[in-house]
Amino acid sequence: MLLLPELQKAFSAALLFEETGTIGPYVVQNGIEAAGRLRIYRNNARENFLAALRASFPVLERLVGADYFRQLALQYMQRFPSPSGNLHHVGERLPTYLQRRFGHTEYAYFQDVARLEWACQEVLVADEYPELDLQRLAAVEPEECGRLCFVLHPAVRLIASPFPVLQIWSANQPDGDIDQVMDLRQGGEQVLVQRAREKMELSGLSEPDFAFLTAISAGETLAAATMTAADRAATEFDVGHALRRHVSAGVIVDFHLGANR
Amino acid sequence: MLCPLERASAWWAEVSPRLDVSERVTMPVVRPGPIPAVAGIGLRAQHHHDILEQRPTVGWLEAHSENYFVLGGSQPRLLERIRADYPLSLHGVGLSLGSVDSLDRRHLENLERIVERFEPALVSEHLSWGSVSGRYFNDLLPLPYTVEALDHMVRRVTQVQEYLGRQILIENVSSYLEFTCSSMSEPEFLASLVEQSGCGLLLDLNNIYVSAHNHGFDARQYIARMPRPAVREIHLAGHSRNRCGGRDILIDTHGTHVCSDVWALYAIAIQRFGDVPTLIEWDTDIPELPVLVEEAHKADSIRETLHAAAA
Repeated sequence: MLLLPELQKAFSAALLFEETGTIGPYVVQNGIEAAGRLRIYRNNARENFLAALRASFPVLERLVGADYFRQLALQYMQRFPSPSGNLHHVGERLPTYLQRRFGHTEYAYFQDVARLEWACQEVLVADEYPELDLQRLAAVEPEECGRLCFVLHPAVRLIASPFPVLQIWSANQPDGDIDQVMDLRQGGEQVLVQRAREKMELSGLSEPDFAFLTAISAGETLAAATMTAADRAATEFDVGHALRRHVSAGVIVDFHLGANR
Repeated sequence: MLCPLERASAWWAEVSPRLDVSERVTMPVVRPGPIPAVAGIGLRAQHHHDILEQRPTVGWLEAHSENYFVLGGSQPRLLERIRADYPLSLHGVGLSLGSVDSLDRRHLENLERIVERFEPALVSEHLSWGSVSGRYFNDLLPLPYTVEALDHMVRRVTQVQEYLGRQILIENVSSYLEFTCSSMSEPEFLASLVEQSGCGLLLDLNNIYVSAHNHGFDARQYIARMPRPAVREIHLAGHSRNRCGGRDILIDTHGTHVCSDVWALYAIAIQRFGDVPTLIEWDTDIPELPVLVEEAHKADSIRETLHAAAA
């Protein structure tokens, strides 16, 4: 007699290690041996995992092909099993896995494509947030503006890559030009991923603009974020223009006043 | 340094006069209440817009709880709009009730949050387990039917019911193996679970049919042994037939029409349990909405025919 904890452990070992193992004697044969019965469960678990992963990373699947994607997914599942009863979380660690596996190879861009795709998944389901209260903002004294700490919408992600990751993503959309030849060494791209009016939008950002939003999302003051951006600008960084754009696009949605320095 | 900041202050001097402070007025929401004892369909994301546009004549809808755990975006908003017109049930697949792992607190909190938001008339989960030491298989794995497993399930169902402050329904799953250590049958296990936890039953007739075939028991006897007042919902779905070790084995796919044998079980179930909310489930190779609606109407007409014959 196996107690429930041992039974579940033995059952899961059979699913993970592809052998019947110690659960075998506790399975009623009834015309089909334990191995065949367990294979059905192993297969179900894999297919459920694979389907969830395919839904989250269609671009990566197009890039590597369905067969290799499947192989990759099953290897990833061994290393990073599902952490939740909710299948929507299974892709969370795929970028990390790809980085460890391909980080130093010619396929180093896989991880950035996966990061971008996961960011797309996250913005689609992130929390809502009301628009920036301009009246409240207008009440801030001009001399205090350097202390402003802006807040980005929860459905905003910032992805930077040494590869042309937005071009790769676009070329591998269902209506994209998959035969487009791309030079991976043409330089990196910075991408703003956001949900706007319930749709996902991706747009390229300049390096200073990316640095500006990244500093803001890290909680830095407007003064510090502006300096960070200006350091990366070839000429000058137009913060008024940047703010206008990011507020009207719903990227910046809130603020508070940081400490005096 | 000053230069860009001056620009920033010039920017809000410019935007501040153009203010939109229209107040948001929230209206009290009136939503359809209990689930009527007629057929409904499983709500799948690809049908959200069709349901809003076509307003199909089905009695109610059932959504997978986990699909609406998200905080924002179009999915929960669409469900709110749909919910305004249809009675709703929330059906979970990921709580892993039968696992010896402790219950996933985050999962429970999410469930509580969407129960408050969407006010479902029924909340259900499965008689199964799905994780060991925090590693999830995302499948409905079978329990041994022992006193130990029963005590465990009673504790877990009680825990969830107390957490949510309401009764939940437990669904029988399709299974592909049985354990030699089981000391009672599945109907006995379910009846005891109902008695000891106060949960209701969601009887999946396709699952009974699949398991009956796979393990060689009589599906009609299974139905006859279910505690009558506890059955508060019925599921109908399709399955597939596979070969395994030279024998036929049925796999629960929810990917096709309800088979004629399962319709026959439905007639038997209705005669035993009376009119019960009945759901058409379809999860793989999901067809166009009208196919599901037609299947639901078929369930309704079977019940009506039975009543006409009895009258």
